[in-house]
Order: sequence, then C-alpha cells, then structure tokens
Amino acid sequence: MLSVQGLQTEFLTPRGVIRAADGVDFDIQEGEVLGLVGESGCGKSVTALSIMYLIPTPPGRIASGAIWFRGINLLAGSENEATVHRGLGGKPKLVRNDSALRRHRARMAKVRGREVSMIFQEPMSSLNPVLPVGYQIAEVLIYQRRKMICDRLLARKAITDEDLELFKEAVTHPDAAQRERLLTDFCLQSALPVEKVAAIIDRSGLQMEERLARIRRLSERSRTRYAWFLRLARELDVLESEWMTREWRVLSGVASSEDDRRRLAAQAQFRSRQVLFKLVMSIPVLHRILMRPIEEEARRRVLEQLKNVRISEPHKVYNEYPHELSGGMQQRVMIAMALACDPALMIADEPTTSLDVTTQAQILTLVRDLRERIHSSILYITHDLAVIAELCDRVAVMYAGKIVEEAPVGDLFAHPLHPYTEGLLESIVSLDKEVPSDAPLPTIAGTVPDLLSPPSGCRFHPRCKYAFARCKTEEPRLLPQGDGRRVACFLYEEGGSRAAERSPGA
Amino acid sequence: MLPSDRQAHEILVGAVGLKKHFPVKGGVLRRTIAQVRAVDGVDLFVRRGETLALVGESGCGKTTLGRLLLRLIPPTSGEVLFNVPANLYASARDRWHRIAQDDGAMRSPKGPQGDGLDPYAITRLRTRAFKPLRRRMQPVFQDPFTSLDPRMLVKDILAEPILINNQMTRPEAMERVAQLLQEVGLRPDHLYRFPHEFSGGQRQRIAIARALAPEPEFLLLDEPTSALDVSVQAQILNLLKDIQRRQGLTYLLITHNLSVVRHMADRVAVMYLGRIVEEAPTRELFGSPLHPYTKALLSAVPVPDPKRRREKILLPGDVPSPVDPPTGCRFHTRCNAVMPHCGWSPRDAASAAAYLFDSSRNPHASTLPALSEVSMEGNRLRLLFGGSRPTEAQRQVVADLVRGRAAEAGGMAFQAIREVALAEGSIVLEFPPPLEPAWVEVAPGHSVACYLYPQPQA
Repeated sequence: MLSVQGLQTEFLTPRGVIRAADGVDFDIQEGEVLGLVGESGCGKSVTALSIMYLIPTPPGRIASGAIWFRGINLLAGSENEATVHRGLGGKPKLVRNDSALRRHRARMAKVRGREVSMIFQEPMSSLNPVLPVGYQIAEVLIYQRRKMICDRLLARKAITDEDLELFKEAVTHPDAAQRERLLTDFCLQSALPVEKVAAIIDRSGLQMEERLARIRRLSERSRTRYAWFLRLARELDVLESEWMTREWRVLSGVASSEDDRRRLAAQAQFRSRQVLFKLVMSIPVLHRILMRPIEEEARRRVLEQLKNVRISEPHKVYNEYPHELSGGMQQRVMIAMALACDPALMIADEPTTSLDVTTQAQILTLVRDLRERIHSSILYITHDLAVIAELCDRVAVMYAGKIVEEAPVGDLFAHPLHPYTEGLLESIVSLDKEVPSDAPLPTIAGTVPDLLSPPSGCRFHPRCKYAFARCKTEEPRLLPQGDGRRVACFLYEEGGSRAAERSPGA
Repeated sequence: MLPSDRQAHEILVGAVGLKKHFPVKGGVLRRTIAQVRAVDGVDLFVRRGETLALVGESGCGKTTLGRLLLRLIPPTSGEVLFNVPANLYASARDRWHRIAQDDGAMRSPKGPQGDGLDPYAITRLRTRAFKPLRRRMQPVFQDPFTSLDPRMLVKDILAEPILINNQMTRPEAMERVAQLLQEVGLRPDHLYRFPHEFSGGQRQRIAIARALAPEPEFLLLDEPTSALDVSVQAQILNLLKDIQRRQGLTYLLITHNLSVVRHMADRVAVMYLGRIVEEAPTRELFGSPLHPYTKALLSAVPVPDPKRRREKILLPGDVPSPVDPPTGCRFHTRCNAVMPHCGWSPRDAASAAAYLFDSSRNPHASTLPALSEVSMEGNRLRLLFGGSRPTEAQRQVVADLVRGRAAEAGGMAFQAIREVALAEGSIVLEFPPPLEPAWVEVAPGHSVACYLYPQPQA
C-alpha cells in the first residue's frame, strides 16, 4: 500500500550537508503495523516527516526517491521545488521555487490528515493551547470530509420511534458515563444539536413525556434548511477530490488520456462553482449561518471519535483545553484526531515515550484494539523494542539514515541477524531478564555517528564487534535473506561467515 | 558543620513525617484557596551505601520528595535527618507520629530543640549553616538538555561546584575535572566544548560528573535515563553502578521505569499520591508484590518478547488530583481489589445517587418525590426532595435502593453506607469515617499500607 523507495532527505547546514535519511526502502501492506526502530538521530522521524511532506524547507529538502501510496507517487512534481546552488565560495545554498512548492503543498493538503495522518510524540506541544480540543478535531472533519457531512445532513429524516427509544435509554441509564455515550449515539442518529439534547437529558425532575415532547419540538425546529448550500459545498468537495486524484495520477506518470481530460474538466467546473461559494463565504453573517449545521454535524462525529478512543465523558472533554487534560488523555485526543477521517495510513511517532508505564499500557491496549476495528495500516516509530514486541507485525531497524534490517517481529526477536539489532536487543533492560547484580548490562560500544561525515563503508562498522576489512570500504546492500527478511550486512552476503550457516538448512 | 560529621552512621538520609503542600492562589486578592498535597506524610530512610529506588506515576510527588530530601525546598512539616544512627531514626519517627496525632497542624521545628536530634536534622539548620552540607548531597536531573548551562564550557560546568565549595584552587580543580571526565567515560578533549555539541547520553555523563565533582556521599538520581535511548540507557546504568562500587556512594533513584529499578536498586519504595504505599527489598518486591498498585505497575511494563504476553492489569483513569486526594486509602478509586472499608466517601457515591433516587430517571424510585438536591457534608450524603419532608416509608424505599445498588457490580461505595436516616427534612446517607490503612510490616523489611493485609488492633 505504501512503498518508500530510495528516500533521501537532506538538510543544508552551515557545517555541511546532513543526509538524515539516506536511501530508505520499505513497504507497508494493507492493515499492517510496521515498527521502525532506531536510536535517536538515526532518521526515523525525518522519514515520517518526509512521508507527510512536513520537512521544513529550507534547510531541508527531499533530494530523491519515491513514496508510492495507493498508486500515486507523493513526491511526484516536487523535484524542482528546492534546488541546491553553489553560492559564494562554493558553499551550497538552497533555493526555493515558491510557486512549485505552493502547488505541491496544496496537493499534499488533500492527502495529509485525510489519507495519511500522524500522531506526534509530545501531545501537549502538538495541540493548540488556545482552542478546545474537540474543536481542533472538528476542524479536520470540516476541512477534509465535507462531502460526508453534507450527505448526512441532506439525507436527514424526521425523528423515528427507534431514535426515541435510544433517547429514553439515554435518560434512564444508571451509569453517567454510559448516559453520555448514549447521548452521543442519539445525536448522531437524529442529527440534533448536542448542547440542546444534553440540556434536556440533564435536567432533573422532568417527567419522561415532557422530555419526549421537548425532543420532538427540537427536531421540528432544526430541520434541514439551506439545502442549496449543502449541495454546493458537497459538489465542490467532490470536484476538488476528482481534480486532485487525477492530477496526482498525471504527475506520477500513471495516467491515461482519460485522466488528463477529466482532470481539466473537473478543474474548470470547480473554478466556476467556487466563485459563488467564495462570494457567500466572504459575508461573515452568511458564513456563520450557513456553516452552523456543518459544524454541528462535525461535532457529533467528533463526540463519536472521542468515544472510540475510550474517553469516558466525551461531551465534557470536547470543550476542554489541552492543559486541562492529563498526558494520557491528550494522547487519546491526538489519536482521535488522527483517526477522524479514517486514514489509510497512520504514522505514530513515539506516541508513548513521554508517558508513564501505566498510561503507556492503556494507550498500547487502545491502539491494539483500534487495529481490529479500523482498517488503517500503522507505521509505528519508537526506540523501545519492548513496545514493538507488543504491537507490531513487522519491524524495520534503522541506523544512521539507513534501514539495516527488516523482518517479521517474531523472527527478529528470536534470531536478530544484523549485529546492530543484536546489540539493541541485548541492551534492553527488562524485568524478565535475569542479570547478576554485579555484572554490567551488555551495551553497544560507542555512539551514533555524526551524519555530517558518516563512516565509510558500512556505517555500523566502528561499533561492530564482527567488523572486517570489507566493512570499511564497501557499503552493504539491503538483500533478502529468505522468509520475508532483509538485512544489510556482509556477514550474510556471498562469502560472508554467516551466509553458509543460514543458507540451506536454516 | 554538624557534629555528626566525625562519624559515619548507618542511615545516611532519613525523612520523618515529611509533608510539602503547595498553595493554590486564586480570586482577586490572590488568597490561598487550596493546597496541592504533593508529599503528604512520608517516612523514608536510605542506608549508607545502598540504592533506594522511588517508583510511581508522574504527579505522585516523587520529584518533590527528592527535592525535600536535599533541602532544595523547605518542607511544610516533618524533618530530614542526615547521617543518623538507626536507633535514633526509629525513635525520632515514633515520637513524631505521637506528637502529630496530638497536634494535627504541626510544623517543622526551627533551631535547636534539645531533643537529641539537633546534630542530625538538616531542616532545623539555618541556610548558612546548611551550606557546607550541600556538597555532600548532589542531584542528577532527568533532562540533560535543560540541566546544563548552554553558555558554559564543560570544564567550567564541572569546576564550578568545586570552586564554590572552596575545596581546591583553580589549577587543582582543573586537574580534578580532567580526572572526573575520564571517570565518566569522556575524553580530555571534551573539556573545551559546549553542552550542545554532545549527544543525550554524553550530556547525562557530564551531569553525573558535575554531581560527583564536590565528592558527595549521596546522589539523588531523578529519572536519570528516561530521556535517553534504550541502548544508551544501559551504558549510563552501568556507569552509575560502577561509580557506586568504586566510591561507596549512596543513591536515591527516582524513576517510573521498573526494569531499571530491578537492575539498580537494593530496596524499592512505591509512591502513590504523596504517600509511600509499599516498601521492600528489590528481590522481594518483584517476586511477591503486595499492594495492588505495585502489581498494576509491574504488569504494565511492556515485555520485549512477541511470543509472550503478560496479563495486564489496566488501571482505569488517571491519578486523581493531589489538591483533593481521595479519602481513606488513596488508591481505592482505581484499585481492582477494593473492599467496602477502603475509605469510600460521599464523593464516590454522589453522581450515582443523583440517578438512583431521581424518580424521573430511575423506574424503581417512582414512589419517591422529585429529587431536588444531592449535597455532601463531611462523611454524609444529604438528599433533599423538592418541597416535601420525606416520610419513614420513603426512608425505607431509599434504604432498599441503597441495598439493591450495593449488590450490583460497581456498587462498592453503597456497600460502605452505614445508615440511612431522616434528618432535618431530608434523608441522610451516613458513611464510616475515612481511615487510612496502617503501615504494616508483613515480612522483615517489607512493609505495605493496604487493607488487604492484617491491620494492627487499635
């Protein structure tokens, strides 16, 4: 589904060019969880940001490579955005091609959050501190899922007896948290404003008949108005999606002549419709009145998402600000935001590193449960192999900007091939591993090399206990090692000392 | 200098009834409206030469306790003793608790008290008199990216604590600095660099060297490896163990990572919401944890083996706010082995009561008049019914509802209700007065505060 091929991302610094990702290759299948492990500074996060196209330019740029995502190349058309020129005294200088950059960013904006989404390490610093968290999630939906929202609003029916049964249960359920969940379900089904329904439910001392009557009246008052506007918004979204998809295909070089024609037609239609839309939106009063139902529907969706990530009182949390939530809750909100649009791929960049063990256990269980329910693939980035063992199907180990080993998770933990993986596994401090108290823990000697001047040959050779002459001069390639594994090490290549012992029987 | 300096006593650092409450200011006049009970009555001691690990979730007061022990912040009440004989520490602890029971609002005594503890209590010293002791207890902080001055060269960072304490002349200090660097596994050419030129692991080495510079006896390690990679973590732990063996240092290791504890510590103290809930030798704590919180913490550690899965005990929710901690046993709101006498209070039952006794919601309560208010007064929950005075028959209905709810799952708070009574035109549900579980020694050196284990007779 996602295939990253030869990705090279570099940063131009006053000290020279840093290749943070240097020819990264990996694939993710549909519905798979791939773990990406490595020490800090090995290029894990840069790889993730490159997929999202969030590399700050300057100083960074994606130098070469391809990221194939569901039949389109996410890097297509970005080649000329930033070029390296020789400046004064031969120093390299990054020159941006602003118009190309803007066009590519506009295209990426329709992929990011919608098809590929990301969870960051520090939830506190990636949520906006001055907006309620619920609104921040709703924004994603309003921007990326307008068609779905308008469809639901246009298809709205009068309130049914079935809905009213749900409402009755929402009033009488003994558990407060459960009542809150039923409220969310009821609002989503009946498309009524959450605040008003909540007020009717929370009011104590009202008899059931009175409550039902109020709900009926509310439902009559809030029938769909301005259907023309919803249809317009929906059509715009459809046209834009079509235009963007075809454009991606054209740029990726996989387009038929049909694609080219339809792209131009969609673009022209989109432009003509957009005039009216922009005109209406430019009047603040109209903007507020017309967008209100869309925002309400987005809000109902968000409450459902919050419920999915096991936030017990979604309705209350919706209006809270990030600083009012604990670290675990913030991370749940981030996950809800990432999942808001049912993305095909979710990138999680060390989502539990800043959390406690107990909260980490909660979040890991949540992610594992969500896996079954949603159909997204997950790229899980971490430096903690224990987390990988709990969650992932396959692991890619990264060292100094390169993938050095890739294997199914069971095989990797049972028989690590690359000396670096071996060292990583040995150095885990684990509860179950009995180490005599006076013996030192096994470690990997030395430190991560400076990427400004990486070691020649295999980048791990200065720290490797098996290194031999060839490692210093030649660079090993990532070669398949049978049963779905790949490793970049001369020990396993032709003439390597371990190639023989693995090849026939193993 | 303290007279105790001449002798090395068994207990290096001991805390007695230590409390730290931070005021929360609010309103127009910035008056104190609440207290954050960060550390709320902790007895703790570290023997000379051992490593004591302090474990707990974030927000439980571990770091505050560490700061109190170094006297980086003054305690609200309680005392910190330094280099004290074991029997004196035990008697000081017993006496403190006797006095504290008589006088609830106790403060730390200032100045000499003439009770035999004056030579040891560092909390009684004035700042100036305390200064010579500072070099004997040094901290290493969590984040090596923020705890080193970015504008100082490594040599200056390391020389500063030596020069400040007037231990050596500058040239001597420089020699010592070079030697220190070697001790923590860095090269002499690193002396003339700035902290930003180092990786996380190297920076933590510098922070350790800085702590070692004034030749301390006691090191406070506040999450020394949690900002580091797994592979670097092992290196730093090795280094710390190595230094301890060579120099006979005493460590207090604050961490939330239990696998680190297993390799480093001789004894472990588990902390929850400002109190120590369990304390045991490391082997025993990992072999047979007693407190449900310890069990949950242990089960939450991820297993680095895809073939095995440990049965996880997931704690519901987050750590409650230390501004208004739960009554009784503080862990009862999240405990999976909770019992009716764990300290339930009206707070735990209020939201359920608002449903249970509301005739418009609960069909079983249809004979009751409309519920107008549920209020909490001490350990009583008061139900007010709109307009009418409740009758004996209605009291009976409420009592039945309480009994019914107590039998259901999650009705533990209702099991704790002692009495349903009519009072002042309302129905009152009475809870037992909340008591904290006593600190019981179950095995030599293994103590726990939990109602699951036999309590001493009062």
